[in-house]
Amino acid sequence: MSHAVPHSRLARNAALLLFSLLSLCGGALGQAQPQVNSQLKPGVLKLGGRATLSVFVEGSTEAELVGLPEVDGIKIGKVYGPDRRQQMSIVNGRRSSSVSTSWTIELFSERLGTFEIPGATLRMGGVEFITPTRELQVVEDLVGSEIGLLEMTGPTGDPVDGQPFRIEVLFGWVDAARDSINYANLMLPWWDSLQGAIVDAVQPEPGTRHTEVNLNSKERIVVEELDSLIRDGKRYRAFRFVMEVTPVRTGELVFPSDFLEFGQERQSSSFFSNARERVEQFFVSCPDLSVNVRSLPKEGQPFDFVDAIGQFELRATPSSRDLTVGDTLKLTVDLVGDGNLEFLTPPEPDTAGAFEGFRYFGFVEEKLPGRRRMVYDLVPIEDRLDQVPSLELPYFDPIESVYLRAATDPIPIRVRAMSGAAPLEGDLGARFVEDVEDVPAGALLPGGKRESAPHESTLAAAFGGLALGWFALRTAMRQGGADPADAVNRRRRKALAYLERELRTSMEAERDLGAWNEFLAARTKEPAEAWFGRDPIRWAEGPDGAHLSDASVATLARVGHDLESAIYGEREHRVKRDELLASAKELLEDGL
Amino acid sequence: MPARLAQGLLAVVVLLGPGLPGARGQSNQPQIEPSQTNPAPDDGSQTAKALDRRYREAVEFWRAGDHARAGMLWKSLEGDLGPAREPNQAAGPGFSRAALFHALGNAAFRAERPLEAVGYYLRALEHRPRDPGLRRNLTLARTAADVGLEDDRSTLGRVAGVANPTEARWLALFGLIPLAVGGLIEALRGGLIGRLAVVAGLLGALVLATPFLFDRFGPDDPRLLVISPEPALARSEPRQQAARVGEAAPGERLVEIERWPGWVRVELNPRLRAWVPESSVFRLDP
Repeated sequence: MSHAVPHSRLARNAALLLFSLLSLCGGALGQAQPQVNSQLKPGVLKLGGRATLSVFVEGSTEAELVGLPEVDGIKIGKVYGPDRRQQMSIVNGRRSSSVSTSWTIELFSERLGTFEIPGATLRMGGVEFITPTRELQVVEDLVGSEIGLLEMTGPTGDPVDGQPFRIEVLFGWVDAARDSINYANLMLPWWDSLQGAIVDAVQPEPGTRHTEVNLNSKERIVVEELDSLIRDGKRYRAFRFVMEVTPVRTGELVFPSDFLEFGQERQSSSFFSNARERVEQFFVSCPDLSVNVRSLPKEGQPFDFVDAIGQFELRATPSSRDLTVGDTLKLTVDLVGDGNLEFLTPPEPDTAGAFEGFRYFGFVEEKLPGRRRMVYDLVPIEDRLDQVPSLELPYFDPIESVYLRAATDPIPIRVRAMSGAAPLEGDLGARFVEDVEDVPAGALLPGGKRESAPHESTLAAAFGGLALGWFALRTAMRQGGADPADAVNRRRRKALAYLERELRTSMEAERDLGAWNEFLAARTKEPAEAWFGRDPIRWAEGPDGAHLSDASVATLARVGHDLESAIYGEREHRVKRDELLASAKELLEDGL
Repeated sequence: MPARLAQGLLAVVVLLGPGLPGARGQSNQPQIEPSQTNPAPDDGSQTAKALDRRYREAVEFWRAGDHARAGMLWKSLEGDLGPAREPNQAAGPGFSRAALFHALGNAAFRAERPLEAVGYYLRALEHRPRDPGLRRNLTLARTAADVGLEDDRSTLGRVAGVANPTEARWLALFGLIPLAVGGLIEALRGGLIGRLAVVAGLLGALVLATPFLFDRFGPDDPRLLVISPEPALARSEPRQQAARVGEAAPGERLVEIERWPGWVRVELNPRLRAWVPESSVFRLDP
């Protein structure tokens, strides 16, 4: 028995399933058939004007723009996009959705004519689609040509490779439209893409009136506003824009398709935006300008010529004229003239030539309008230098078509030797090389004398003899167990010194006698008391004094008597110190 | 007694002097080996003058810029001179070996043989160790040969090296004077002062004798200098076909063990002795 399913529920489920399948199929069908299209606005364009080609893809957000239309006479500008959109809408219960992708391509007219604008190429899912061809008609702006002015003038002669020249652009509109024209856009398509040359804008001279205009709709340039300009009997409000062009190759340089767009803009302000709307728009063009760039002549080219082209002068100023060897000399050199000042290679001192005697450490430079200033670091390394030599710059004069040389004047200087001069180290001393000391002129020893040294055996004998002699002398001095270092012997050796010291401080006769007796006792190796009251003559008759001469014995007796007399008042004065010392030395010499 | 003592001491010195052992390389041979072209004159000073004349002839070539010819003449002179055997003979009878080695060093330097120049300057410095010109030349030659400038001698060796062997002996002899003074004080006075005097005298004698003692008893300097521009290949036997067992770098100094025609046996390191070609080494004879 089967379960009964309600009929209404079954029908609703089937309807939902069918709807889902149809939706999927519909979506798949919608994605498989994208629609591509394009739109050109406007279809008729003034020469120099701007048109836009809009490319649309309906039914896909995966499209890619892979090819742009290319037409001679039409320049492709910026490409805006892709702009991908998805929309879903429900109207009366019906739901619908759409997807789209779009691009906007700028087109600029460069010459008159009718142009077939090929389609843009799109790629979706590996398949390429091409938008339909559109027609663009470029017509001359008769009004613009009538009221506008655009002139471009180049150099008078053919410049040479590397020689800067100027291009002057005069533009403006009739003075009568002064009040109605409030914007200008100079269109120089080659401005940032000229092959074979470097182009730089030249700022207006100081003191002139100047204003800003658009250049190529994307940047602002400063141009000089002229007082007035009359062409064909019409007075123009005119502006001047000057460029300096430095060619970097020979051949023809072409400056094509220049336009001036000018007109009136109106400010439109709303709550959400603040935009400028162009009310009137005019265009005026000028013929192409062609410049033939010559190559530098080889004939007469100096060997040291590098790249200076023009007419130049060099002026040098030293930081000081009174220098010491090793001082830094800052040589300021101004290069002035008309030529490739900005790009030329500055001259450098040749330390192997004219600047020999200087050490060169390089330069710093400053680029000024119409002038290039180099400051060279030089160090004099010889005191014989008397001038800074001239610095030369070979250059090609394109007017005279000849190679010339600009040179600074030699500058007299004074270079003093360094005080306590020592050779400069490092590179400064590199002028000198180290070399071996030369060979002696002769090989005879000084005086031609034989040089001799003691033989080793002599040294050994001397050492041995010395040791033996020392031993013998030592033994002799210690015979009988005597020791020269014992107290008695030391006292005996110091007896005279003791006497001198005592007499130096003695103030009375008793002390003189005590010192004298101590001196005698020390010399005779006896106690000090032994000589108090001793009769010297009787002592000299004994064994201890037998070796003394009679004179010494008499001296002993006399000095003893004098000292005792001074104590007991038989003598007015003490015995003099010098007399006592002289007597002592006399006794020592006699062997006391 | 003192008079008798002095006479006795003098007698001891005279008797012991010539016969004391220990002298290195004693020889009574003349240091100038006479050549056929230059028979040895009977007087030393005449020999020196003859040698000096030959030296000066070479100097004339040298001054004229003929360095090669001058070098040959000096080399010939060196061959006739022979090696020095004694310090007092090293200097020669009035002839300066230092001057000759200086000249030979310069000749080698000019001939772009800087290692050989190093060898000659080292030999010259043995006779004139404080000559600043020789020191500078040695530095230049070492720099040119790229063998480094460091002095590999010990501190004591450097101190001892300030005097040449002749000066070292005289210094050693003069060093006995403070010792004698100290001994005299000690013998006559004794005591602490005497002992201190002896110690001071000994120290003074030791200091002054240091160059001599180091020269006499110090380690032997390697007497061979590798002068080949490339490392000298050392072989196990004195044959070109023998096995290579090592090499000696240019500028390295080696100890000589023995000789064989064309070969020298050297000590490459304490564990390795090998033969190197004679042409690759330079003998640093004084």
